Amino acid sequence: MNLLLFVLKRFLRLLLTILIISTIIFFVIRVIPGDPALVVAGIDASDEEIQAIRAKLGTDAPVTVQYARWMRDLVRLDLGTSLTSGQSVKALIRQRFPLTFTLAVLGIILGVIIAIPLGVLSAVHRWSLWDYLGMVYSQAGMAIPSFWLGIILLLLFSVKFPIFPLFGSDSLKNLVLPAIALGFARAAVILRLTRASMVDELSKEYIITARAKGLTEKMINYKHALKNALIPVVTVTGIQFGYMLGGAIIIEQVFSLPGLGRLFLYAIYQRDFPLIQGGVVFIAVIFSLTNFIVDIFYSVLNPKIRIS
Amino acid sequence: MKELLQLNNITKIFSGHGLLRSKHSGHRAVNDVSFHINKGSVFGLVGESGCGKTTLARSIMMLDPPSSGEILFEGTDLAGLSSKKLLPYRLRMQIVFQDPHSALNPKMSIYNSMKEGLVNIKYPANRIKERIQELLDLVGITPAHMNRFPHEFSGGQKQRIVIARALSMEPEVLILDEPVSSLDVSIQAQIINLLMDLKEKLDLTYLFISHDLNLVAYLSDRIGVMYKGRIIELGDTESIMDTPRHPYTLKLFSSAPGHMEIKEETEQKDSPNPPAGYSFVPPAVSEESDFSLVSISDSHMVGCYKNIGD
Amino acid sequence: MELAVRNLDLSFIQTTSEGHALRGINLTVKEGEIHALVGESGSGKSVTSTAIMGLLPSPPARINSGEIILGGTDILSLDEKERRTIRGQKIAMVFQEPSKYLNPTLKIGEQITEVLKLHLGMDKEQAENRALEILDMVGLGGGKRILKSYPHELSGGMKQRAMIAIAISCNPSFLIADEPTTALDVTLQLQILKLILNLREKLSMGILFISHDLRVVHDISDRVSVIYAGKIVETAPKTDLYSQPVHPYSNLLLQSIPDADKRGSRLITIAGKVPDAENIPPGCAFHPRCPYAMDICREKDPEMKPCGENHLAACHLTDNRN
Ligand SMILES: Nc1ncnc2c1ncn2[C@@H]1O[C@H](COP(=O)(O)OP(=O)(O)OP(=O)(O)O)[C@@H](O)[C@H]1O
Ligand SMILES: Nc1ncnc2c1ncn2[C@@H]1O[C@H](COP(=O)(O)OP(=O)(O)OP(=O)(O)O)[C@@H](O)[C@H]1O
Ligand code: SF4
Ligand SMILES: [Mg+2]
Ligand SMILES: [Mg+2]
Repeated sequence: MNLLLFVLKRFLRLLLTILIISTIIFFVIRVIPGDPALVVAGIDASDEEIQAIRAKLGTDAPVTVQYARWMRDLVRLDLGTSLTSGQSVKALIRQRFPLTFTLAVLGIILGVIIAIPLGVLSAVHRWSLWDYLGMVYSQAGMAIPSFWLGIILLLLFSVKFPIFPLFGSDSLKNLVLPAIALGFARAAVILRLTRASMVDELSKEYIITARAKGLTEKMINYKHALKNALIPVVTVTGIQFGYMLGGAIIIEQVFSLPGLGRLFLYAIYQRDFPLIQGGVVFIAVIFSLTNFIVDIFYSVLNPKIRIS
Repeated sequence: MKELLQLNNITKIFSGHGLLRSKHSGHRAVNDVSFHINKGSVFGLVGESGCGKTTLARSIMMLDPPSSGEILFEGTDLAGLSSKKLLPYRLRMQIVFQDPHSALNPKMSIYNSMKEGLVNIKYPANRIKERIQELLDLVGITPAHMNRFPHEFSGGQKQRIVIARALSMEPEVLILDEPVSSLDVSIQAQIINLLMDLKEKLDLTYLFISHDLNLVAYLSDRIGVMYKGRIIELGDTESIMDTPRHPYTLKLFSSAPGHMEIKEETEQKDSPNPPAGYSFVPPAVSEESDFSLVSISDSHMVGCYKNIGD
Repeated sequence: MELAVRNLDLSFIQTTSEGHALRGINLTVKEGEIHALVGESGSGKSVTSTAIMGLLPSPPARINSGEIILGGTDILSLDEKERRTIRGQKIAMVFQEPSKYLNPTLKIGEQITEVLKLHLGMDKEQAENRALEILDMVGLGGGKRILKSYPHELSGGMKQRAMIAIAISCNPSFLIADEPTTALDVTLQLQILKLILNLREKLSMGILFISHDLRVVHDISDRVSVIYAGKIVETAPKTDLYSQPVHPYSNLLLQSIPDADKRGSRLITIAGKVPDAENIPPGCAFHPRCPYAMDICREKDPEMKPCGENHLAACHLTDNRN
């Protein structure tokens, strides 16, 4: 019951955040010097042509009217029409998003699967084989840039030993290498945090109480310490997931995947303003949504949050 | 003497955990509390665990703003101030909590913990180290240990560090929430002497919170006895100690340790009578407004319920 | 069950120094006896109790010598697994700072019932019923709400009572209470003290009661040992210690208690502070603070000598008596 109300409250906050972000984006785009219509029309365009483009973009109306339209369209989930392709921004995003999202989800799952168990084991069995493995991994993960890893993976497993396809994006098999490239470095961050957080928890006094109760080491580690240790990990994992959605741009380039990243990159090259505007709002919403979900997780783990 | 702090009808309600909070559903941790503290005096607040002493202290500091009521600091209502305007007042009041461990960052050396505050108030950087050493020495911590971490100190040592840190802000009002209950007697005596010395030297004003009636009586000029969120007796220390009026105050007296063998049931002293027309127990059908503090002398009030029919 | 600590000597090994925290502790707590250990902050009370529980991390703690005999067995000679079966079941401990020693993300109910399930093999329902009984016993009526609460939802005093509830849940035969009433107001303190007396009656538990509050110790204990700088300096039946303290330290401690009668005057204090475990003064460790210190006190550490029936003290002042 309490949790439900908490979720509801956070959801309202999410809506508010989206409202604020989209307002900011609207004004930032208006404040940037240069008239989009001029850019779109080119140097040779006549005044009439420019006027026509302005009318098409809606930038001829007063700012307040534009803002009202923007908000109205947003509520209708309408992000406008791309200048270059003529398709609606929503449709474009809808085409591209599943790929990027799948990639990020695969990446984060991979990262979490590696990082959390290894981090916990390193903390529980300090100076053991696990700990060394963890240390080596986190060093490597920090040092190796993901695009480089991506290229190496391609060379190794698509060219030299053609286990995975070099191109294409139609099957999950195409996404394995990019997901590894994406998740590898992120996992190192999560691993380090998990280990540090677990070590920290294990040195707290309530662990002494648990020992005084005669609990087994297993209960102490996994029942008492783990939940407390995961609290900061959840937040960071959420942020990492957000990064992956954004960071996928580079990996999408390396693996020639037609994801969101490439769509927005293209929009920027082409100065497709509605697409840029819609894209930024979309990414912002995804970020807020991720945050929202992280908050919920966080509150399940940490009862103190639910009170305030 | 001037009133430095005046509390008017402070109420703090912890609403459940929802959106649908209403004034009536919540838990009234502090209920309609009013009293004043004169500049340069010690006001002692006693009461049992969970009666709302800490909650009240946090409200006064505006750490947890009250649900209603006024906190007048030299006539300015803190409850109505923006957080920016509040800041200077916050510095003039410092609080020392009951629990020293949560007040010290375990990952920071004592030196760094103390430095933080001093840097915040723009204390001359070249004198910070000297000042910290001076403060630590004042509270009986070897200054050479300032680079140690909280876990290297025993419970009592930690509380002394917390007091030193509060003093570093050179506050005018110090709210002391059970500041010595985790200290051993000899250090307790030292700290109390120290607090009294500092009070005289710096003209400090104390709100001293404790469940130890003997200690509060030793220190305070006036005492408020709190019970279930309410002040049920208020007055000059002499008056309260000599002629306690409320049954709960009497119970506090008889529970004070160190005087008797514990018997299965400590016999109750005869309860004194409530003022005419009032009773100590709430009437069967009671309204919030039935309870009030009734003056029994110039400097002594006792909380009771108006009899029905009067 | 009887507990005997014999010549327990313990150091904390730091990278640059060695802290001699316990310097040959001798302590016997008879079955059904409440034995109070009093002394100032940093004198080694908590180190003694955590050493008895076998909970001191090693390193940095190192036991140099000594025995801890519980009901006839030297628990220092047991391996970790054997000690684990003793902890929580035969010997339990209430800690000084409840807000630190309770798990912040586990409901109080779970923190009590997990011990019952583990040691007594109860199922969930049995354990919860038993937990409610125990909570009632420690004065946390309305136990159902408490069972479902997290530690931060309780006030300081309530947390301490929950802590006591955890410790006594398995009816241990020996209880160590490290400042169990520090966070409580007097009325609840009285209730807890009564509870401890009651438990002693029922279970004939031996209890090591640690406190710095000589008034509380006066009300609850049968016997009192005064500890200073990791050494017991005086041990006596309660009444003897309060009426005729022999050691100057015990005497000063008794005099520094604040009281309404002393209003307006400064309290008597003991000058200086407890030495750090790394820097124990030679001779009698109390000599830098002792108003009666003599030349011999700076050189020779006094031994515990009888100075009454069941009454021992370590002070050179007693040398001249006999
Ligand atoms: N954040 C909170 N949310 C809900 N209830 C709270 C909160 N903090 C305190 N309470 C409740 O308010 C009441 C008063 O608590 P408070 O900590 O002020 O008591 P106290 O007088 O300081 O007790 P103690 O002597 O044990 O420190 C208690 O019933 C407590 O459970
Ligand atoms: N983990 C540790 N590492 C190093 N020194 C320690 C450690 N724990 C305790 N000590 C030292 O051992 C001595 C005794 O400390 P202890 O905690 O037993 O005091 P105490 O008598 O329980 O005090 P208090 O009344 O404040 O709880 C102190 O000098 C303390 O600094
Ligand atoms: S031995 Fe000497 S210094 Fe120690 S307590 Fe006795 S008189 Fe004081
Ligand atoms: Mg409190
Ligand atoms: Mg201790």
